[in-house]
Amino acid sequence: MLLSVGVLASPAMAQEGGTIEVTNVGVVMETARGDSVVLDTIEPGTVLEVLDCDSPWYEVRAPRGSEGWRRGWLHQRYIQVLTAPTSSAKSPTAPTLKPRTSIRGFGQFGAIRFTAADSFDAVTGNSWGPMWGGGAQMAFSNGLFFQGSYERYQSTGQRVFVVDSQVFELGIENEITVTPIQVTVGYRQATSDRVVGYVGGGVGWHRLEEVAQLSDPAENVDETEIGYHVLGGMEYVVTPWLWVGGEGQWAYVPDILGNDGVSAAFDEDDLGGFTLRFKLTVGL
Amino acid sequence: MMRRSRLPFGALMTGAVVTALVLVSTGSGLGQQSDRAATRVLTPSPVPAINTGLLLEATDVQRLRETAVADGQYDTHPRFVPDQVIVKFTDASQGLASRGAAALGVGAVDVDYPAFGDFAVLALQTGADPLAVSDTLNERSDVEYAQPDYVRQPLFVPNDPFFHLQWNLTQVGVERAWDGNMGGTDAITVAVIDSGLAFEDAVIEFEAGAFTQDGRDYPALGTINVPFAAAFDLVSPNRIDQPFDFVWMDEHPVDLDGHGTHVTGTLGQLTNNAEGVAGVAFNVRLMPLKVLIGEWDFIFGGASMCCGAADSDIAAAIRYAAERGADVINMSLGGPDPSPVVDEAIRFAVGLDVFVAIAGGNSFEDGNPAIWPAAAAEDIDGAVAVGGVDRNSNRAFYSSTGSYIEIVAPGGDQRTDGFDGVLQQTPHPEFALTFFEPPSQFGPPRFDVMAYAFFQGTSMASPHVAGLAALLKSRGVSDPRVIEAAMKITATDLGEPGRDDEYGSGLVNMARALRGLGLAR
Repeated sequence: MLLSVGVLASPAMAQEGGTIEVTNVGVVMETARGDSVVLDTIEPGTVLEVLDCDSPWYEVRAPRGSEGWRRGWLHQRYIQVLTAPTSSAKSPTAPTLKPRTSIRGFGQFGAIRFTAADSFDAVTGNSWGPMWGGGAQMAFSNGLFFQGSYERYQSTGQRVFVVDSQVFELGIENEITVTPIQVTVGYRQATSDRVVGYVGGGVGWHRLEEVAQLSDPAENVDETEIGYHVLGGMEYVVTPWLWVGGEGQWAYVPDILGNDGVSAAFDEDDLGGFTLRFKLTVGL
Repeated sequence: MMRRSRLPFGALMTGAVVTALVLVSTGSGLGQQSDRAATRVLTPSPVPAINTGLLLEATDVQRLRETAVADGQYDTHPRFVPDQVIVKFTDASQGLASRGAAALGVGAVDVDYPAFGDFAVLALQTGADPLAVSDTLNERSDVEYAQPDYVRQPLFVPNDPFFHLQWNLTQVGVERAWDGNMGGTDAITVAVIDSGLAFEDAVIEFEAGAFTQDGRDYPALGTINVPFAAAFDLVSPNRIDQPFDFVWMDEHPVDLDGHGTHVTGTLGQLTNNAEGVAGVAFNVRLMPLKVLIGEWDFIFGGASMCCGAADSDIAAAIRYAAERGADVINMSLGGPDPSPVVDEAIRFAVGLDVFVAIAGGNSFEDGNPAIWPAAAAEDIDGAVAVGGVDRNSNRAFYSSTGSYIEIVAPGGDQRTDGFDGVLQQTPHPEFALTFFEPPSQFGPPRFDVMAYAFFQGTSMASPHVAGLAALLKSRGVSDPRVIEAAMKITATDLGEPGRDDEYGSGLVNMARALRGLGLAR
């Protein structure tokens, strides 16, 4: 029952059995974690029934019936506590959360600046290039996540000679494809109501394909080597099922370059580099 | 100079109304020959070459020549031109030179400045020692260098010709190279500094004097008409570019030996024409420059010595080629003495973006001396000394070794198998080199009978490299230093890992060189 309006309150004031009014757009989440699955979005003015409280989180029932958690930290910006606690409410102990695993899929697009900058610049005309791909992530309620991703870089340049660091182009097309398949383990942490930061690291299988015009298969390159990477990024919750984010990754992929070709001429043996990505994530 | 008179450039009669021309040169009459005016009259001929096909039974030219030398009948390998030295004055002393030969105080009787050179040729008193005179001149402050006019020899070991395919082209991956570069383009010209080229249909009138060989006297043939024909598997319309003969000093460097035609064939034999054999750069233009003196040049009085090429002519030919727009030069010749005048000419050519391929030498079993001008290439980026390998990619028995060998190419090895030489079209030696017949069977030669014959030597290896350079030039790689680096980077390493004195950077790999480098391969 609505008892009062416009009273600012702390979580301690809004005991279970009371109500709160959302004053700004917000979300109801599956668990009392900023990086858990978003169950619903709440429009300003919505009144929620408080089922439990674990400061700074409220367990609430949303108008459409879903039950979840709403952050009360700095809640003055987002909610007003409207009701007093009821006698039948449970004690304000921490909720018992079932450790649930969320599964998310993502697509990503970005650009890589290769560590072997001179080699890529000689053959493709650029030391950086676009990468796109996608993957899947399993996020656990304790913040850990595990993900697998697939990416692809492709550029068509030309065969060259390098003499005294000077590049001489031959006009023969040369297509380079780099395909990293990576697994990452990391940790996610909410930094605000809608923003989650994360860091991680892992290994990858980096496939390099190089196909020259008029060459036969034996003359082309198709090799895969293991590389290592670390990454970090931020996600922003757009809807209960959609996140957007930005991510940076540094990868080290030894042993695949530097034995022949222009990479040998430039003494560059690392196929890795620094990648900046835009990510679009969909939660299930 | 070796020849007492030479026609100036442009003095030749040309044009539709002129059907013959007369060239006159005089020989100095060394050895068994007497002084006489050397005359040759050229008449264009409509008669094409006669094709005898593959040469199955070879005239062993090398054996016959070695026999003649052993018998002391004539020196086929003179070290230098007698009574002659080359000298380059410092700029400030040109005035001194212009005061005349006598002012030099070394017994010089004449000074000549070749048309294509920055050096002078001093004619010495008969019997003077060119080595001693050179040493004396080198002591002078107004002399940059002086040297005898060394004689270079063609670097091939003629063969027992048996029928075989051109394993040499397969070995260096030329078929794959052609996939991306079909024989180069006619925008590229390759100068072949050699014994000339069978490049025109003509009848040339010569005066053939008497001579002695193998202790036998050969009679003078008098005035004879010698038929020449273009090598039909090598010459096509507009293929020949500014030919010049530095022996007869005219624009008709016909091949009186066969070496130059064979070398040029490996470089640029017409290909995919349902005829004979193939060459590496079969679409490029050819600039035949004759400097190598053969027996017939001597017998006909065009040269006062036999046989080989004088440094003064080689240097002039290199400069001629560079100034006349050649993109690549091949020199399948060499000798054991260093030559500043040739070295400078090579640097001059490279400075004009001309790539120079030089045979590395066939003297491994003869004490393995360094062979020049190949040895100079080691210090000149854009000039490459080429060694020879057999069909199994092993160093050929004759191929010289040393720090100056930069790369190797197929030269052949017929010591155990005659098929393992390099096959190309050349004037049939039995018709062309009749001076090897006994006097009773000796007769005028003819150079209009063509055969396919196996030769071996670094002479045969060098045009592979020149051909590859022409293909790279056709690809737009114009800097000879880059071409040299590209060849070395992409060569197939042989022998000791990395560069070594037997194989240099390895076996030239045409397919790889023309593919260039990718990111990882």
